[in-house]
Amino acid sequence: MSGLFIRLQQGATFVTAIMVVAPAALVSAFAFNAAERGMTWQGFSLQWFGRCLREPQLRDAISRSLAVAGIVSSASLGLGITAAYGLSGLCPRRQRLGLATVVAVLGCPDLALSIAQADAIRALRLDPGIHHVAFGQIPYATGYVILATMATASSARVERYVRAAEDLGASPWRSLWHVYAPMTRRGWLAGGSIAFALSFQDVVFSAQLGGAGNTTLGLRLYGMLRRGVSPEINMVFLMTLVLVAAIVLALPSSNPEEEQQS
Amino acid sequence: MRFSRLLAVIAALFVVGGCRPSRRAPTPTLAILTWADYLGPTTVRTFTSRTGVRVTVDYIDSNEALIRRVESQPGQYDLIFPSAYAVRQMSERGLLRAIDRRRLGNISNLSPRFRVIADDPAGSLAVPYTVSFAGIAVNRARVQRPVSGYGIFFEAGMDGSALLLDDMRATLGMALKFRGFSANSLRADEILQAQSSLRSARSNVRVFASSDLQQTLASGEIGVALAWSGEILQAARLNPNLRLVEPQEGALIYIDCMAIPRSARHPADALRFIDHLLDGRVAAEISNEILYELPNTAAAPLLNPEARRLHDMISGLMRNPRAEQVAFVGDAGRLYAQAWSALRAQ
Repeated sequence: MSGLFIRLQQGATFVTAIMVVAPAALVSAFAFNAAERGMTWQGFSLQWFGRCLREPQLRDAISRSLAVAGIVSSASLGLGITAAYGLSGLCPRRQRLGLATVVAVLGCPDLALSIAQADAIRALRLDPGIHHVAFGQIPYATGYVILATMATASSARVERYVRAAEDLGASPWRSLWHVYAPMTRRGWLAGGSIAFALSFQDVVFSAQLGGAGNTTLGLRLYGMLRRGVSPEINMVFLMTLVLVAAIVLALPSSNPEEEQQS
Repeated sequence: MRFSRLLAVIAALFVVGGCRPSRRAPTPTLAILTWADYLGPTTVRTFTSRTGVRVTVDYIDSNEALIRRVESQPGQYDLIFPSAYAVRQMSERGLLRAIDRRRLGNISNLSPRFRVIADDPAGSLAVPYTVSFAGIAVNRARVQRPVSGYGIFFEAGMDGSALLLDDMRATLGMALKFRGFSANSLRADEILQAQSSLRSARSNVRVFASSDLQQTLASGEIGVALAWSGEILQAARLNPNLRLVEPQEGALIYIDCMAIPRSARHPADALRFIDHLLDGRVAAEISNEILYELPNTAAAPLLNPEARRLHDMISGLMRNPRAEQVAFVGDAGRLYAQAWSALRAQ
């Protein structure tokens, strides 16, 4: 009976892996399509790799998206960890109220928020730019960090350690920096990664807040759609995949043994 | 502490991402908002070397996105490329700046037929840039009977083989012309007749589509299609059974324009860029590259065979007096929207 259960479990894992990996593999494979346009396979070619590398507009768009995602994820980490720490000090009912507010924002359409932000920029007579694109995304990104940090904190009962540290005379900032943040690392790393990934592929905020000469990657790809899809878009997908994977691998690891040492 | 490693990664991202574009793009001088693949490979470079004016180019994927950007980010863009109906919409909202054609030395290169658009008969708001049309694609492997006009979409025996554009004005306009009316009709009874024609032909329609047309056409699964001329020509390269037929009832002509937003900070440079695009050699290079017709008499002798074929085809279409530009219809837009949603809900 348990053997059957384990086999079912393995099967489910296998199916899930296929569902995640197969579309990405297929899209990546078509990056090596020799066709000028369209998704009909017309032989293997590396031409799109070279063409993507040589296109300065695409390079600039990727750089801009990286900069935006960098600002968004680091700002949201700072704000999110602090906010989660602050919420953890509240009574359970208020904590739930605070969390509900954060999650409610995450569920709302970002278009409404971005249009309001664009109008605010116009009313303040500021010049749109990529820093505005980043600022626009921070409320959402911070929500993800708070959510993931608090989930880790409650499952690891971090509040008890924080309270113990404060009983021993640690100031709130010290217990945040030395107890709360290290113990919830897995949570905020996950939240920060989600923030980074969502920001990197953003279209909505870039379109509303970017201004002239600030096309981000998502916006550039959208623009390419008008004349039909070419393998270039697949090559951009593959290059982004490799880039983001490299960034994730460069991040600090969080396996449980190491965590106990710290 | 491994924080330091995280900080190092973030710092590296800033170095890779943050510094390069700001060094690369110094204060932009002329900001263009256009469609992807809408300029030639050297168009911007030759302009900068000719005038010393630097250029940044951003992209939109719909007229609605274009209007929204110009409206919400005033002062950001100096030159835009709206379709004809969007020109009218933008001018009604006071978003466009008048263009003084006397300051365009190359304006006489515009071919006489396309000097102005129907929505701007004085030519003071927009200068035509590209011309395309909605044509009939016939897949000779599936449809053997002769095709000369829109009637093919309404004939018996075509069950499930037609593709119609998922575009309200194009498909209703086609049906209006089939019934002998103007594609810009303002009359409710005419629009209703077009709607009922389309409803009775519903079983012929396999799909309403407007994206990825080229692939759908090239795959050969469709017998006849109402589609954008450029898409049909490109699909015909992949599938030799495809023919582009000029409808005898008159084609629907689409014109994209060059226009200057009222809020533009560099309107004089925008005029210089428009004049640059009107130059015969510049226009020919663009047309040869993007396979859109640029209505430019000085460019015509410099076209490659493919662009030449398109040029001849459009000249032929225009000889049909029933060919019609798709224009803004104002309040009648509501009638079109009602007819269209009733059809699509079927």
